[in-house]
Amino acid sequence: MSETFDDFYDAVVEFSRLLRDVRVPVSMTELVDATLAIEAISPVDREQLRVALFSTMVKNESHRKVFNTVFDIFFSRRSNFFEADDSPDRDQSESGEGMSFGDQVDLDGLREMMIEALKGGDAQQLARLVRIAVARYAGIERGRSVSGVYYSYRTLKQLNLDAIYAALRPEEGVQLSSVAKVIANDKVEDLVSSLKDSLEDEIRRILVEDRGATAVAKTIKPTLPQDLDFISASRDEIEKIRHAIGPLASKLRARISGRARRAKRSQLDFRKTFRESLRYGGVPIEMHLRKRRPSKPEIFVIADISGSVASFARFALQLVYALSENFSKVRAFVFIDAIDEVTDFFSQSSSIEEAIRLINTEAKVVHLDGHTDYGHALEQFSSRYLDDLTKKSTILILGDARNNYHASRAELMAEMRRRSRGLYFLNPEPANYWNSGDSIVRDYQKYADRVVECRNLRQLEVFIDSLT
Amino acid sequence: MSISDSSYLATIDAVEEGLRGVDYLPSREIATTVFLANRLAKPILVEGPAGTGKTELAKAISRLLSRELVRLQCYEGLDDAKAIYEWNYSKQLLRIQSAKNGDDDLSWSGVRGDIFTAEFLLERPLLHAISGADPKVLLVDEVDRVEVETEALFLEVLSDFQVTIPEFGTIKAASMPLVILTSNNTRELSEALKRRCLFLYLGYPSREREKDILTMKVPGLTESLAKEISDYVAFLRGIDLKKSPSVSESIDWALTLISLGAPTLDNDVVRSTINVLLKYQGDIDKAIAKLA
Repeated sequence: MSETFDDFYDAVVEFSRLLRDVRVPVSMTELVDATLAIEAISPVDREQLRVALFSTMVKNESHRKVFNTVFDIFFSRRSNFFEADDSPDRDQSESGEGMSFGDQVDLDGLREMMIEALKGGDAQQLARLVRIAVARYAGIERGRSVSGVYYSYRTLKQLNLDAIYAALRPEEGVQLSSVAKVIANDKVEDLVSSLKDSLEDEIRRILVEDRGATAVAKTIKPTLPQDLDFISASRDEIEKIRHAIGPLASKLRARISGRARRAKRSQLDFRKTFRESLRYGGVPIEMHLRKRRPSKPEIFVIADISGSVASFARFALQLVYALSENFSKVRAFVFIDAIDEVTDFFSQSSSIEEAIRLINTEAKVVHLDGHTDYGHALEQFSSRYLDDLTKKSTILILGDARNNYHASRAELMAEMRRRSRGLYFLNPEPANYWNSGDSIVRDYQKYADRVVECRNLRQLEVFIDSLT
Repeated sequence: MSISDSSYLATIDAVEEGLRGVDYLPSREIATTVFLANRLAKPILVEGPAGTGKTELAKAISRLLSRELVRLQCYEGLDDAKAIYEWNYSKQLLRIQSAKNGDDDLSWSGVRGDIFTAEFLLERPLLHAISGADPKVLLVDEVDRVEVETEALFLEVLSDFQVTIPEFGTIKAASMPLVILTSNNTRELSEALKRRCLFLYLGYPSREREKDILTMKVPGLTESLAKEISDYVAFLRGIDLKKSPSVSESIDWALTLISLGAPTLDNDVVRSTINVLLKYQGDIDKAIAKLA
């Protein structure tokens, strides 16, 4: 056993390197803990190894998916670390017996058997069938540096995913209450995703066998939610981002209200302490501290929701939504070439989707041609809402400052800054594109406390941390 | 250097079985992490949504090992005087006052040596957890509620199992506590704290495990109804709700269904009892709409 431990140490060190490559931070002490944990467990059990490494190296749930991907590649079933495995003996199936069994069934038969295996929850059988399907339909070309997404797509297309869905759903004739129907449909999703997982697992196994774990891990490069780019993020990715916003919003609250700093220790209330001490013959036995008043900060969020920043706008609205759950007073404004207050849309709607739908249909954000005009938006904001700004208000402007060559009206922003506690401009564009073309970051930079590049959650977090 | 030699923590299987014996159904991951925490003498940082059994895990471990559970509830503004120790200021003053009147030793060194002794020390949870001969289970609940600066207070206790009191010296743990920290993840904890802990995420359980939890916690619940409940709750967690139903809420729901005598889930039953499961009107409307 002791020789294999050395192999495991090396493997774990290499594994931690791969994790760092995808920006999951693993510190030296954590690495040491991981090796200690391996000594305590039986590392040839793959699931024990997974928990041991996860609990020691990863301290953030949002990293789990990425961790699992890297783990599955690196400690793939193929690797010689694991003695007993829950999947059927591979050599046997590859040496001919399994394949000849595969040769006998046609595509429809294979699909039938897969559906049976899914319904019956027979993981072994499913793995066997998936192996046949991948061998036949994925068309894997050895030696190519690809991530395998295409192979999985190709196999699923051959298998006809729609037919699988249809077969798994409850039959039409059967009378079911709608609760039962809802439950059944939900389960179908679970089953299909287990099929997809099994498929990806197999493709990954072949890729690893072909090119080695490290090389495959480098091509796949999974992305953490906090590194997803707001501008290019897909709808699904924006959803992932959404789940990570909540904690950031409450952090922002802590920073802006400055509670963290003031909470340390309040001042001695000398008068009261002295007066009370008279009861004990002038000995100040009980100390009295001054009570602090909680501050009630207000946030004004002004978001550009024009087409050029559509994905970012979705993120911006999610941020507003998260903020409104954390601050007692959040006012939200959106603009393209006209500005409208949308605070009520958020408070009325029960979900972010509904709020976004209301904003898209009902907010009056178009004045002339629907091309972004920061100047006109600022003008309208100043004439309608300037008096609402106080020294408790913090203004966040979210947008790319691309103004289609309209006037910037930066002097209005100066006045907004003067009346408020702080004004920050979060820009989703990379900083080296600023001030090129119709970008007028320069004009606003003079009056905003800061213009910050904010392309992903990591940068947003850095910004929040820098607020004091 | 493991924390306890108790046979309950000797193997992963033993942990799993032991926890089940004290009415806590652990997943394999939970059992493995608890086992490792004991072996590596490290605290466990438990994260996850509310009502998934984070605090319950600490209680179950204390029941399993028959150890006292020391609980430190965190809140904004928690300081060392509330968390670790405090000098009993009034008692110290009284000591000085009484020395004035009586014939006690009133020399400087006498009084100084006297008022900074254990007699005048008020033990708070962290100090209490490491003092005394019987080992304890320390639960630091909702650690994300304290400010980042305050987290530093915990570090010495968590990694070295000791407390340093300037007037006194360092108090080493007489017995090693098993430490559980819980967090609702309302803010990111400091790297220093996370580095010292094993991480365990308690998300919503799988359908299978939730069904087992329900049958364990709700006497008289039939297997088939437990299955329906866990399936339906799993479905609700999949749709976008303001607040997804927690495990404790699904247990409440099962209890409600039992007391109503509902043998199976149907639309009417769900409609009339869903308020046990969901706490926002918007969420309820959404769930009902999916039934139509």
